[in-house]
Amino acid sequence: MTRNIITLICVAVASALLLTGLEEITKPVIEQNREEERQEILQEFFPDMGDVEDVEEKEIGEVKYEFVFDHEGEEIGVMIENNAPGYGGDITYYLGIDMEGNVKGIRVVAHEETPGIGDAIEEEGFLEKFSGKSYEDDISEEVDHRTGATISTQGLRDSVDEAVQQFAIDILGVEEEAPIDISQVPDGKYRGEAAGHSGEPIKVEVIVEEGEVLEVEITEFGDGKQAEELAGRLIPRYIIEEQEVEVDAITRATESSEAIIEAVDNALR
Amino acid sequence: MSTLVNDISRGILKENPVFRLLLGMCPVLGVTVAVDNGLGMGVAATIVLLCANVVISMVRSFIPKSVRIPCFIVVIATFVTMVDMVLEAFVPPVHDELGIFVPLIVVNCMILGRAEAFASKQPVLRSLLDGIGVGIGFTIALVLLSAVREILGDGTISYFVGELNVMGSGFDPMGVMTLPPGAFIALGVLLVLVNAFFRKFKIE
Repeated sequence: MTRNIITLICVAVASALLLTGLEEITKPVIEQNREEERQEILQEFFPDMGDVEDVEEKEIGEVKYEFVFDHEGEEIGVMIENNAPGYGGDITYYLGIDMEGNVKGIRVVAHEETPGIGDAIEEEGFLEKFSGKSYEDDISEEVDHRTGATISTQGLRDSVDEAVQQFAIDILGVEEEAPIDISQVPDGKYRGEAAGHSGEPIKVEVIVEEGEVLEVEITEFGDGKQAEELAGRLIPRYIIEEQEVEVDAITRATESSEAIIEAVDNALR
Repeated sequence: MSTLVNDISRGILKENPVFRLLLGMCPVLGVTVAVDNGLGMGVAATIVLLCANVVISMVRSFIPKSVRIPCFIVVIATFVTMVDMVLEAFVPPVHDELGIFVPLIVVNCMILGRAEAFASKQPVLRSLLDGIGVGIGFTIALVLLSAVREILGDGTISYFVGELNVMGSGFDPMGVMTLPPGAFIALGVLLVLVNAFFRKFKIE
């Protein structure tokens, strides 16, 4: 019995010593590899940047921005390391944004997506669709997801969109759109529209009286009968019941619901 | 002399871990989407197997029978962690590709199987040769399977720094071969062929 314990302890201690020794050797090399990769990506995003060592890290809210400077010491952009929810786990990527809020580049450094399917997120052809898009563009609308890899590509895209919007708020000082306060809307009949699920416009007419939504009428709807039954019937009812524009979307007609909400929002702004 | 040669060849042919014993199937099915992945995994597993076999054979007389399995596992896990760290430090592209499959070598029953069935009973030299043989057998099987899957699934053969287009531009890849079902299909067909071959040449 004692011999068993002693043997196990010896084996464990020998193993621990060996691993600690090896880690001492490999750790600096691994860290240097990571650093080199980061610098390479920085230079790819900002070819006219100055010294790679002159990158300034600044934490705003929950986001860590790395500011990049050119040879004259002018700020030319930021790089963000971010995680997007993928199909198999987190997608870790670097995102470069210039000071006007345009995407300079995206590089996926680690992911657990399905080989041959979800790894479309690494493809040049998908990633280049983002370049030049700014916070003023609706990235989630303008970059198409990849069929067969919807969850992976949508996850990355929406995460990029969010990061760019957050950048605009944090760094460029763009104000976040406040939700509409219906009680402040003057009486009247308002018209608004938004693109539906099929791409056809959804048009609405909203009647407001004494700070309350009295009626939401859908005057044009191109997303088909089923969506109209669900979203077209229920969303106006919810808006009137809750006296709030941002109501929950209806399952199985999510995109049509969101389009109706957006149309109402547009009408009242 | 013939026992020593036999120690090597047994792992490659008669007791090939993949084609004959069907051991260690997780990495076999998981990483064989590209030839370089298969080769990298084969070499990594071979190194672990070699080191584990030698060490276990060296300490076999000190280890009490009742705690031998935990001791073997610790030895194997130590080498796997070492291989993992060395790969990450010196060949990061291979480490990125193999990812989760390197730590999983710990529970590869092929390695524990050789430790238990061979290295814990035989002298160091024979254990070393056995490790080489089984390792080569495992690597050959992985490369063969990944070649079939990559050529049919992508039309290419990749070799760490690039890839060779072998099927020409008119080839329409069979995407399923790069997916898990493709791994089972390719393995099944290969098993039939290899066993037919063995039977024909009477290698038993």
